[in-house]
Amino acid sequence: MQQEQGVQPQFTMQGGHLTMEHKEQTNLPRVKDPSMNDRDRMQDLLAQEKYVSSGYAMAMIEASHDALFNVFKQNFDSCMQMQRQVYHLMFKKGWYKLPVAEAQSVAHTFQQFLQYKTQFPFPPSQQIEQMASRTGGQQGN
Amino acid sequence: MQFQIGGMTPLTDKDLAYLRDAMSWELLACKKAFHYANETQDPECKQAMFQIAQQHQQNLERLLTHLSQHVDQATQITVSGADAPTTVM
Repeated sequence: MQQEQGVQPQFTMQGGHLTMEHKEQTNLPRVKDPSMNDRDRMQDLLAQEKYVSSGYAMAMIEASHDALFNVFKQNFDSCMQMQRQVYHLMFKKGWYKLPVAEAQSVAHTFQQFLQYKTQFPFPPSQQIEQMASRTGGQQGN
Repeated sequence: MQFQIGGMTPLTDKDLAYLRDAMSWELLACKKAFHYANETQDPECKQAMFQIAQQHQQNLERLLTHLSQHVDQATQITVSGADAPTTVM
């Protein structure tokens, strides 16, 4: 199946919070009525892929032999791919507005888990050590 | 009494239950996506929905194909120890 490619998002401030979305003519009715519109249909297909793929995840874990496991896995991968396709299309249509995480929270979480390197049972990789020495002065953030 | 199984490992109860579940998910998913594709006026949505319907049908057919191998196999499980070997299922 051809994969729907992601589009470049636009960033806007909404209610003091940075939001990521793609602005496009969405073809949705101006005044919404109880009938299903395109967004509702896509939302339902997205929820469906989520449900089916989680079902396959459990089926894979419980399959008794490898041939059956592989069949479930192929279908699982297929559902995951469709999930991405539906998501990309919905985002492109501007039906998704996603709040961007605060830069400070991102940095804080990074620092926090970088400090946990003392708990790693194996010596941290060169890359981790380099990052730790670079940001060593900002500990206790 | 002894059971002899030729060829591949048989399906367990649980395997069959998951196969049955998965086939009904795929059938519903396929029908629903096809239904939506016929309803929508948006060409991009329509194309994506038809693709999804088609993919779900392929997934369903893959499950059905796997199950068919076990159907053939089930007839090969024979019971020995009785008067004459008999075929079960």
